[in-house]
Amino acid sequence: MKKTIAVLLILMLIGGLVLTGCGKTDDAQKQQEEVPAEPGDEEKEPLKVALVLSGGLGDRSFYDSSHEGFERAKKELGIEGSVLECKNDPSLYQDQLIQASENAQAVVVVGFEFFDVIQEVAPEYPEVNYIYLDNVVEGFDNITCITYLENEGTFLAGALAAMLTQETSIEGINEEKIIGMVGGVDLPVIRNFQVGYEAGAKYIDEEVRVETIYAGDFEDPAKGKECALALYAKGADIVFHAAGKTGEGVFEAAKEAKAYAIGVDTDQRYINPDVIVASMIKGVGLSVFETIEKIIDGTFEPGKVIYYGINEGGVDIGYGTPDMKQIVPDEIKEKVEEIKAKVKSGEIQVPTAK
Amino acid sequence: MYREIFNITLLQNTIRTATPLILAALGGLLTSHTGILNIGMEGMILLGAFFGVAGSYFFESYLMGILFAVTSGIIIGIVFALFVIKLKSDEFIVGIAINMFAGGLTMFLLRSIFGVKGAFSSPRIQPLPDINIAFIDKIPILNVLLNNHSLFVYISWILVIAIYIFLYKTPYGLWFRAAGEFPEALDTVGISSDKIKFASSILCGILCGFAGVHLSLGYLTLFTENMSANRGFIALAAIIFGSANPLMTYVAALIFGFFDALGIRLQGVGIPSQFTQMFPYIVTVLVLIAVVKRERDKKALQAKAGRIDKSQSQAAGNLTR
Repeated sequence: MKKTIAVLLILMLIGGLVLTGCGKTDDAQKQQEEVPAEPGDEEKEPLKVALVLSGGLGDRSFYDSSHEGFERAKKELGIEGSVLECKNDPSLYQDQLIQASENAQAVVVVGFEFFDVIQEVAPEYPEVNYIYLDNVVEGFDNITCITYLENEGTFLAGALAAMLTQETSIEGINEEKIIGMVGGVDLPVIRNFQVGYEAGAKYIDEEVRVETIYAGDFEDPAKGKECALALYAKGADIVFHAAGKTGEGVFEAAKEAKAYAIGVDTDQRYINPDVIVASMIKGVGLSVFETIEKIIDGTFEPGKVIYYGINEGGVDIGYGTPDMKQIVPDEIKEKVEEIKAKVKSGEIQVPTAK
Repeated sequence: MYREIFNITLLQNTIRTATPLILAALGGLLTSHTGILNIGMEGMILLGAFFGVAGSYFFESYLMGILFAVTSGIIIGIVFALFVIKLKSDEFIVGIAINMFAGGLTMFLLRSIFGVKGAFSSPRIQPLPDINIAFIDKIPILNVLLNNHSLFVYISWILVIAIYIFLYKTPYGLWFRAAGEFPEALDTVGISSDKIKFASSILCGILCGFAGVHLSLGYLTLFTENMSANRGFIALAAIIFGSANPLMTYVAALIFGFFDALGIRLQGVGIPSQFTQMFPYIVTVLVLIAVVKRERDKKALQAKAGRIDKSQSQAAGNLTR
């Protein structure tokens, strides 16, 4: 008796599965039939763009910045699209990229980590325009690369820190000419931050020592705090970070050590305006927006490498909103502007690690 | 150069890094004594960290933060026990499930309650207080080393000793150990080994909640996604190192903390970060080799003893015949 009931139940379950399975494929087929029919009906359909992130939103720096540009394009240019996050899981890179390519006309690929995957996927979808951020792939007609001259931005940050560390009249600034930096993981991109930062500091004063520690993680704020505390204990009074969420710990350390920090990628002063004196801004959002704008205008040239440096507004220094108490004196800000002009005109050549 | 590396801040850093590890490991070693290897500690820490921040934010009180974290620990401990003990599921699968669940839940709640993605910090979050012990104040080195730590650093020290006494000096501790080693014996004398296992799971949840709230409110004053950053697994390694003995486990946690802190400082003298980040793991491998060797020797000894027992009983059997 029990056996027959069990068999019946199993049969019902299998039947249910088969039936629901059929239902779904029917729907999917219908959808597929419907979708291609639409473009013929209407000429001015919104551009479909997908944003694929190697990490996740909420880092309050790099990925969020790209998302800002994407959202701005949605609002101002009327594009349609969705965000696909890979949450730093390499096994998802390929799936998410294919998923994005299936449904969009342009795919913004955020993160150097896609280097191999994009080269495999892009040839499969020749109709799709790929905009690849933070790395360079050459020889593909449909991959456009955007690379940032972070070193130019961190040159300004380094110069600023080197000047600030000598303003001993400011509370929390010590006598020693030491500044620090916490890097996320030792990668070419982060090295590029470091090289610029060191060069900027040396440009101001040869005697300024720059200490750099790599936390080995972009998602461990506790480790970030320990790294920064180690730097402050060595006599650094300003620590710059290029470490994503790990950098949140750097700000905590600055608060505890009663010293200062410099933010990265977006204007991070709002996180804690008492200790974050400035931020080196990487115009990721701007570059995403401008590229999508070009695709819509028809001025887009696929397959090129676009550089975003000081000249293009791709990197800059931000001091937060005007209602925040300014820690950096105006003379230093003016000096930073002077240096910025010199980098723009080519008078200063910033070394690079890329 | 040596001054730059080997100074008092290195030891301070060691203690700070070891504290979340030992809090979680104390929980894990309780379940490990009752025969459950809990790999869900990672997720339990993360939940504790999140609910600690949530409680502290809504009530602007760190005590509520601790209460929230402990409650989350109790609930997740019960869920773990329910699946592993009552429903007899595989403890590894349940552990993995808890880790994934915790990652997803905290991410979801972060977005739906606080409306932010990734990281959450606010001046409303009240951190755990630092404790100042007046009489140490006057002793020069000890003051820097032992004084003015966050609350849970001291709690962890007390707990290490308390749990050691509990496990090895009280009958309840004996029950705990018996539940893992020979549950039938416990059942025979009328004590439910399942109940003991249940209790150990809940205690583990609470202690992981402590570890989490220490991380998010004591160590830092913020929550970020996945901020437990594999501390649950390192805690597990510490338990295995220390053969689930609280004192030895604390030593293991301190070793991890020490090499982590040393790694940070060695970068300052020009050793590449790729090498310094290897240190804790190289030490893990080396100590594991030692542990495995010790276990093997022990087994060989037991096997030898077993053979003697067998031959003796055979001899006894022959006699009666």
